[in-house]
Amino acid sequence: MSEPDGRLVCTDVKLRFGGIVALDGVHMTVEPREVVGIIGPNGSGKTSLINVLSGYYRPTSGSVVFDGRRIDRHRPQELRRRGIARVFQNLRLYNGLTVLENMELGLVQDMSSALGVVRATCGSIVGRRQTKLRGTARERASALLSENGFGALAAIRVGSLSYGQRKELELLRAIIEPPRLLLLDEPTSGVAHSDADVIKERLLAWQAQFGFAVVIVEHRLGWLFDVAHRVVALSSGTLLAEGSPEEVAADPVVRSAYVGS
Amino acid sequence: MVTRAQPRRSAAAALARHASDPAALLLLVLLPLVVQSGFVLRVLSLSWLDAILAMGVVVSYGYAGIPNMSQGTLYGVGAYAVANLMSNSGFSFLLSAVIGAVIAAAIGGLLGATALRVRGNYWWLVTIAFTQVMFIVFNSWTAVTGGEGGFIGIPLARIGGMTLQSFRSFYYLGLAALAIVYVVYRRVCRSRVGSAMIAVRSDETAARGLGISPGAIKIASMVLAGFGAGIAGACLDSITGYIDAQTFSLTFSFNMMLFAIVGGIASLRGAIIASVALTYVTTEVTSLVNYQFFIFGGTVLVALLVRLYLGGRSPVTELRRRWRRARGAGDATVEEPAVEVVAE
Ligand SMILES: Nc1ncnc2c1ncn2[C@@H]1O[C@H](COP(=O)(O)OP(=O)(O)O)[C@@H](O)[C@H]1O
Ligand SMILES: [Mg+2]
Repeated sequence: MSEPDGRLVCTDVKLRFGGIVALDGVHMTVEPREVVGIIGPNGSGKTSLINVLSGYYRPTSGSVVFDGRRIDRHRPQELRRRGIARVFQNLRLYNGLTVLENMELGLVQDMSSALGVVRATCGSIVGRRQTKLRGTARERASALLSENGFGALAAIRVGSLSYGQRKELELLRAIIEPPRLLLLDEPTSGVAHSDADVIKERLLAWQAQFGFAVVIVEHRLGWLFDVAHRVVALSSGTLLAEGSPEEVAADPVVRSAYVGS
Repeated sequence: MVTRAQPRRSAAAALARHASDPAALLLLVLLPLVVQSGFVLRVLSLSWLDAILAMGVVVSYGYAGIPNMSQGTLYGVGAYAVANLMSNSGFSFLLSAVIGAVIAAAIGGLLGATALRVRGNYWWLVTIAFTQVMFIVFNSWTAVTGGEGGFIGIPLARIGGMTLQSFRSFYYLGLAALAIVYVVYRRVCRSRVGSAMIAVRSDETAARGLGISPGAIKIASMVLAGFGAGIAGACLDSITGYIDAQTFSLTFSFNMMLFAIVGGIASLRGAIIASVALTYVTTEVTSLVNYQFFIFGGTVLVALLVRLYLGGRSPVTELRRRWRRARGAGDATVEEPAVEVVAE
C-alpha cells in the first residue's frame, strides 16, 4: 500500500462552493497505465474533479490517494513533481515565448519549493553544471519537437501557431517530462476533426511509450471510446455509471441523461 | 540559435541587443582617459548605480511581474547599513558591502513575501506605502541614519591597499559594481529561473501546473533586486561620503521604474542605457535640471507610443524590414509576430 504503486484512489470526494455542490461523493480508482474517460453534461463537475486531482482545488471532504499517499492537501506544483501532469481546458501556453522555450518549461526541474528555487538561482549564477543541465534539457526538448513535427517551428513564438497546433503543443509540453498520471480536460475542444485524430494517435503512441495512466474529460464520445479503457459518467457531481466504453454507451441512465445534449 | 523572449521592447532595448558586452565594457573602461572632467565622471559613476537599480526593476517587474516601487528604499537600506558598518564597527568596505547587500536582499525578500498575500494592482500600493514608511524611518531614526541631518563622514573605501578618493576611482568602482550585478542578473534571466519568472508573470496557474512555485519565484526576484540595490548603496556611500533620506524618496524609486520601462522593461541592457542617458542628460546639462520630470515623462510617452505603433516589434527590426521592402528585395526572414502589450 505504501510503496509507490502509481494507483490513484478517490474516496467519497466532496467539493462545495458556498451553496453549489460541484462534487458530491465521488469514488474512483485509476490503475497504473489505465486510460479512464470522464463524460457528463456541462456543469456536472468534470473540470472540478480534474482540479481536485491536480491540486488546484482542495476537496471539502473525502480523500485522494496517489502512490499510497494522501495528495488532497498538496499544491499543483508539488503534484507535478510527484508525476501528475495536467492540461487545461483552455489553452495555457506562453504566447510570448517560443515553441522551444515553452517546451523547456515543461521539463520538471525542481522549482516547486523555495529550496529548489534557491538551488536553481545559485546554480544559474555560479554556473557550469547549470549550463549543462540546461543543455540536455534543450536537447531533449528539441528532439521531441522534431519527432512530433514541430522541428522547424522551434524558434517561432507560440502566438503565431494555429489553434490545433497549440492544443497539440500543450499536450507535448505536459508529457515532455513523462508523468505517471496525465490529466486532460477536453484535449480536442475547438479542434478540427483531422487534428483531433492526430492528437488521438499521438496520445496513444505516447501512452504506449511512457506507460502513464490517463484521465480524459472529453465531449467527443466516439473519440473518447477509441482511447479509453474505462469510462465514468458524471452527473451533478456524482457517478452515474462506470464501465467499459461499450457498457457505458449502452447504459440506459447515461442515454437518458444525454438525450438532447 | 533561439532568441530569448523580450516581451516588451523599445528603441533602447533594440540598440542594446546589437551592442556586444565586452566591447561596451572596454569602451567604458577607456572612457576616463578621454574624459577628464571630474564632474562628468562623478555623474557617470552615480548613473552606474542608477543602472544597477533599474536592472533590479527589470528582474522583479519586467521578468517576475512584481511592480517594484521600492528600489530606492532597498538602496537606502544598503547605504545606511554599510555606512554604519564602516563608521561605527570599523568593517572594511568590501565586507560591509557584502553584508549590506545581504541585508537589502533579505528586506527585498520580505517585501516579496507580502506579494504572495496581495494581488495585482494592490502590490503597487504595498511597495509605495513601504517606500513612504521607510522614508520616514530614514528621516527620524537618528541613531542609525543621522535623521534629517543625514549620515555624515562615511570613511573612504579602501580596496586592496588602495584608497578610493579620486573621481576616476569612483567611476571605476561604480562600473565594477555594475558589471558584477549585470553578469549575475543576466545569468539568472537567461537560465530556467528567468523562464520561470516569465511563466509566473504571464500565467501563474499554468506555471504551477508545470511544477513552478510562483511564491518562491516572486520572492527570489525581489531578493535579487535587493541584492543589487545593496551593492549600489555601498558604492553610493563611498562616492559621496554622505547620505540623507532625500535620496531614497518615492520619486527616486519612481525614476528607477521609469528607466526600466524606457529601457524596454525586460531588457537589462536597455535599462542600463536608459538610466545612464536620462541621468546624464538631466544632471550634466545643468540648464535641464528643472525639466527633469518633463524629460522623463516625455521619454516614457514616446517609448509607449512607439511600442503601441509597432505593436511590440522592435524599431530596429521594423526599420530594416521597411528598408528591404523599399528596395524591392524579397523578405525571406520569418516575420516576427507582434507581442501583445500586456495590461497589468
Ligand atoms: N471556482 C468555482 N467557484 C464556484 N463554483 C464553481 C467553481 N468551479 C466550478 N464551479 C461550479 O461547479 C459546478 C461544476 O463545474 P465544472 O466542474 O466546471 O463542470 P464541467 O467541467 O463538468 O462542465 C458548476 O455548477 C460550476 O458552476
Ligand atoms: Mg469543464
